[in-house]
Amino acid sequence: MIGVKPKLAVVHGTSCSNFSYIVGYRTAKELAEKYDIVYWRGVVDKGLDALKEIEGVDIGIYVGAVKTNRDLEKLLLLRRKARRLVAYGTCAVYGGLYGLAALHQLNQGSGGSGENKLGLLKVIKPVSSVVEVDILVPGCPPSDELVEKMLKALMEGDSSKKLIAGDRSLCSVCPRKPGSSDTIEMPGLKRLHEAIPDEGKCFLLQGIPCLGPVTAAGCNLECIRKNTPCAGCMGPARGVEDMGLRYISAIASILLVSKEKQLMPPGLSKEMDKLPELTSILYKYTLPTSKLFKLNLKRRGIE
Amino acid sequence: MKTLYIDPVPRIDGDSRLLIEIDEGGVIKKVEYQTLGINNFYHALKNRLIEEIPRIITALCGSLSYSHYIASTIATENILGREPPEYAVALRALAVYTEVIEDHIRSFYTKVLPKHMGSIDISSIPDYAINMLEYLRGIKQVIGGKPIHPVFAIPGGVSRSLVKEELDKLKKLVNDLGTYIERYRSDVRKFYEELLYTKELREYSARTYNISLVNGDKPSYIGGRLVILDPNGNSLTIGLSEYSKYIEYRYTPSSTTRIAYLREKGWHGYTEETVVRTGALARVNIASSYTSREALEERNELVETYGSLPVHSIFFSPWAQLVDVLEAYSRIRGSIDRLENLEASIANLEGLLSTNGIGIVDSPRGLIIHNYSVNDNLLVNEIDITTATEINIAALNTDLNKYGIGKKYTEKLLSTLYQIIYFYSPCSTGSIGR
Repeated sequence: MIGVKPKLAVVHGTSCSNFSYIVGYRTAKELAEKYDIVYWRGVVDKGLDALKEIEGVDIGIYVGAVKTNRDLEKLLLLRRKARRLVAYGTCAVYGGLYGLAALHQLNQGSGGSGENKLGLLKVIKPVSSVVEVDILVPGCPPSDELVEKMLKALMEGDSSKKLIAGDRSLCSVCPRKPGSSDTIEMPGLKRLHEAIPDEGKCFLLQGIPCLGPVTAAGCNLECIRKNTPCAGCMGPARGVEDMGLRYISAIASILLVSKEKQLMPPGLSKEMDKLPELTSILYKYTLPTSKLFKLNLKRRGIE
Repeated sequence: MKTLYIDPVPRIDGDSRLLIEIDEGGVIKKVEYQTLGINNFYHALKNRLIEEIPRIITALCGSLSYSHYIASTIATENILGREPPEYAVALRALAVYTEVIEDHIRSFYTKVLPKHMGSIDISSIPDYAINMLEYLRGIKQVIGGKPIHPVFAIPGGVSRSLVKEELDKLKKLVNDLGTYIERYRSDVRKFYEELLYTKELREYSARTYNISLVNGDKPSYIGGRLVILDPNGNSLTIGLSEYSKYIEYRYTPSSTTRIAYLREKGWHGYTEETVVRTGALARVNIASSYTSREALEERNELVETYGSLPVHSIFFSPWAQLVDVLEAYSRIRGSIDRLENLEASIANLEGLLSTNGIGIVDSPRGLIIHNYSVNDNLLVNEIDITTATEINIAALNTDLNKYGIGKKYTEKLLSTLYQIIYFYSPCSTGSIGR
C-alpha cells in the first residue's frame, strides 16, 4: 500500500543500553522516518500497552539477553506481534557477557516461580532457544557494516540469510594472518597483562590467546586494529559448534609443537596452568550456548 | 488512595518505572523511581582473570562503557602496581572527556529538550544535535575502536599509540564538534530563560550532600581527591582509597538498585540534609576553578542565578552539564596537543603486586568506583562497583517527593517529574548484586 509505512517495534531485554544509542542516533532517526514506530523505548514515549494493543507489526527487533521473567514476557509478546523477528547483538544471539553469570543463575534463578524478587530465570537463554527468529545479528555491538546489512535485508524483505555475520573465521580476514612460510607454533602461553603485543604479528604466534580461529568474521576487526586479541564477540565461525572445545583443540595442535617431545604431557599441562581460569577466555560471550553448559542443564533435567 | 505505575519511564536506559500514589482528591502523596533491571554482574566477574575484567565490565552500562572501562583498568593496574606513562594517561583522559560531552549532549537533546517542547518522539531532535552525537561517536571509535565497549587500554597503559591518520581524523572530528558547541550553549541558555520563568521553579531546592573528584580546586574526571560537601557548604577532602569509610549501602525491596548513603549520617529515607548528589551539579558545587574560561563564566553565572553556594536545585543540572561540556571540550583539545607532543610510550608493565585495587572515574553522571580483590593466581575473588545511579537514587527520589507531594497530579506535573529523572540521567539496569 503506497504511503503506509511498515510498522516497527524495538524491545529491550537485559541490555547494556538503548538500541538508539547502540546503532547511533542518525540511524535511529532514519529508522523513525522510514517506519511507523509502534514501540521503542527512547525513541517514542509509548508504553508496552501500545504493542500489546496493536494487531501486529511488520518487524520486531529484540535487543539484549533473555535473563529475567520480564525479558521473557516481552520477547514472547514481540514474537506474537512481529511478522519478522530480529535478535540483535551477541546478548540476544548467544547470551553475551551476561551469560558469564549463567552457572550462578542456574543455582539461584527462580525458574519463574515469582518467589524470587529479582525475577531471574533459571537459565539465561539465547532468543532463538525461546522463539523462532528470522534474522540474527551478532556483535558486541554489531559493526556498522552488519547494521547496514540488517537494515537492507529488512527493507527488501530478504529472508535468504538468517545469520548476518561473516562466512569465514576471523583469522581468514585478519591482516596478521601468518604467511604460508611461517611456522605456526604458539611459543607458550601468556596472560593478557603480561605482554605488549607486537602490532604486526599474529597473537597466537606471540603466545597470546586470541579467539580468531573459532570466531565468525564480520566485526570490522576493531579489536585486532587496537592491538587487542579477538575475544569471540561475533560468536562461532561456520562449522564451529562449541567455541571453547574447538579452541582447545586448535591450541593443542600448535602449542609448543617443536618442544612437544621434550615436554611430554606433564610439561604441556604445566604450560596450560598458566591460565588458571578459562571460561572468560573461551566462552566470554557464548557460555549459555556452549555444549558444556547444555550438558549441565541436561544433568539437572532442565530443558 | 490510588497507586499509578508509569512503566516504563520513557527514554531511560534500562527498565524502570515511576510509582505515584494519589489520594481521592487527585493530590500526590508519594512518588518513587524504581529500577527493574538486573545485571547480576558480580557473578559474571567472580573468579575471572583480573586482566579480562575491564573488557567484561563494559557491558555493565553501554552508555558509560568508556568510563567503566577506564575505572576498571585503573583498579586492575593498581592491583598490578603499575604506573601508566603520560601518553596512556592522556589518551584515557581524552576518552572520558569525550564521554562526558556525549552523555550530556545526549541527555539534553534526546530527553530534556524534547520533553520541554512537548515532543513525544525522536523527530524533534535537531540535525545539528545528531551531527554532534555522530562526531562524538566517531571520536570514541578512533580512541577505543568501537563506539561502545572500548578495547584500547591495558593494565599499565594503552594497547597502542594513535597513528598520524588517526590523530588527524580526531582533530577534524573535534573541530567539527566545536562548530556546534556555541549553538548548544545558546540552546541551554534559552532553555533556562523559559524554564526559570516561573517563580516556583526559580525558588525550588532540596538540600543535599555533594560528592565529586577534584584536582586542586578544579573538577577532575579521573584521579585526584574525593570531596564530600555538606548541605551548608563545608567540605571534607579524602583520599580515593578512603571512600569505603564514608559510603554505606542498603537495598530496598522496591528497586534493583542498591542505595548508597553516607555512613556518618545514617539512612533516613528520602530526606533532605542526608542524601547525596553526584555528577555535574556536584562538580559545580565543589570545583571553583576551570581550565576553560567559558566554563568558569557559565559556572559563576549559574551560581549567581541560583543565588548561593551550594546550588541545591536539580533544575540547574542541564546548566551544570553545559559547564562540564565546555570544560571537557577545552581539555580534549589539550589532550590532543599532549598526544601529539608526548613520546608514544604506551605502557609500563613493571610494578609490585597487591591484593586490592580501586579505580574511580567521575563520569558524566557522577562517581563510579570499582574495587577488586584478587587471590594468588590473580583471579578476582571480591568485587564491588559503586555506580553514579546508586549514589544519586536517594537524592533523585528526595527531589521527586519534594517537588511532587502535595501537588495535584496532572500531565504537566508528570512531565516535570520526568525532567527531574532526566536531570539525574539514571541507569536502571540495577546493581551488580552478590
